[in-house]
Amino acid sequence: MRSYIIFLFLILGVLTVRAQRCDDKDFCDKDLYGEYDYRSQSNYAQVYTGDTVRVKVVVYSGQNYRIFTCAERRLKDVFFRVIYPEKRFKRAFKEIKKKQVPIYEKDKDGNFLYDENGDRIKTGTIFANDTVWGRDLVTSESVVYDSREAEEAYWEASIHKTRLIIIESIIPPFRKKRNGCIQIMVGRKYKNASQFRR
Amino acid sequence: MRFIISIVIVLFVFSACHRENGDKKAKEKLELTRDNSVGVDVKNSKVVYRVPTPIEFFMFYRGAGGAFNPEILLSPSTASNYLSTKNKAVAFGMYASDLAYSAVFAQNQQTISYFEASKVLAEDLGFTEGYGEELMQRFKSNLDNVDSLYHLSADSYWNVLNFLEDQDKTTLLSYITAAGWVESLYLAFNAKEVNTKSDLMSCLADQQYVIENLDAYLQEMHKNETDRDDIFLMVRKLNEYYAELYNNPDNVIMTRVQFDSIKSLVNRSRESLVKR
Repeated sequence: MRSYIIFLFLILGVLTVRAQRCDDKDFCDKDLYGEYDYRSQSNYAQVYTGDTVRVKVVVYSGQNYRIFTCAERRLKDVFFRVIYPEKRFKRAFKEIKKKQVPIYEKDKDGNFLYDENGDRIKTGTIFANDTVWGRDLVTSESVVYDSREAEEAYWEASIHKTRLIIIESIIPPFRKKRNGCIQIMVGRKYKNASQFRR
Repeated sequence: MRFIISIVIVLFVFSACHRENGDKKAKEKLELTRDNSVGVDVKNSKVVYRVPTPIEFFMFYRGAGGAFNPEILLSPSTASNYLSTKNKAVAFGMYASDLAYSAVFAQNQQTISYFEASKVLAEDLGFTEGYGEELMQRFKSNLDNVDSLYHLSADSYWNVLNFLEDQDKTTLLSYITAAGWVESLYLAFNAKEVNTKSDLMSCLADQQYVIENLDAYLQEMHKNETDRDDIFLMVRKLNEYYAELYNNPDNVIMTRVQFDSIKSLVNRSRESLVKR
């Protein structure tokens, strides 16, 4: 009887641990992978229905990328979007400061006059406005791929300029809250490298 | 028999509670983060930041005309000099970067040496995946196969990343990633002369996106430590230097002055990682 109980303990222990792992599961159709290497920025996560997961990755210029997401069937119709975030700084007005400015004596041609020490001759002061400029961060986002509208189940692109991209996976809400695993696969292929093909 | 049934019921209740706690923890994590981007409703979203592995970086670097320079690598014989867990993780990150650099440039002997150095630290740090004896044997039996060594190097690092994420060892993962990234930059900035307007200069300037993601990741994962921890502060400082590139006009990638100041900071940062 004791060995039976120990066996039960072991089975339940293994089940509990397995329930928390997502990286050792594969829910993707094998055809999606192609000749890409996914061992760098891919991500595995445990999520709930109604959640949105945004993964920010860097895509390097001169490389080809293929991105897709897959999820456990119990999470229903998970879809994803690829978003280009734009970030730039804009010159922005901050404030006007009142500043006291000295007035110096000039001759009839507009040249400064100097005293015996070589310094300009101060005749008084006036108040002037000093505009202070700063920088405002302006961010925007544009969607370049939406799996609900796309012909292919993956986003594939040849990158011309290194940039950050956002992969947004949306797990639709369900009448009963459920959790499960999703895979966000980021594959890369080197345009000019015959070596190291997976 | 009744006793067994009771035990089974208790075990199921325990198992369910345990899973619910895990779920609750995961849920809390999801609700912690908010994205500040403009124009998109991202309420209740979890934001995850990913950083390219050293292998991905060095493939990009090699394609941009980068070179292999064995003189600037960290000596593999110093692996045992790092004593605390934090310093071992830092050293592991640097060796993982040296391993990737050697593998991408098909330097087989160096690749084996850095795998061995990383293995010593991986064992000390308790990584049960990625640097096992089996992989070591595969490395040794593929000494002449450049392709295999590259894939084994990529596999080992990838397995460690997944193992640490799975075990929720985010602090160790952060030190490894940050130190590995500083080492990668150090090698890339110093391996050869970099001409202005070259592809290599662009490759180094492009790392501003990586440091931006890495800094955001550290701030996200270690909210209360980013102002105190020397490694996290190092990353923040590098991010500040790199952020200056946003001021450049569209046709200027990185000026010589910006290049020199970033390189100098990278070199100082790497020195402080080595002398721990």
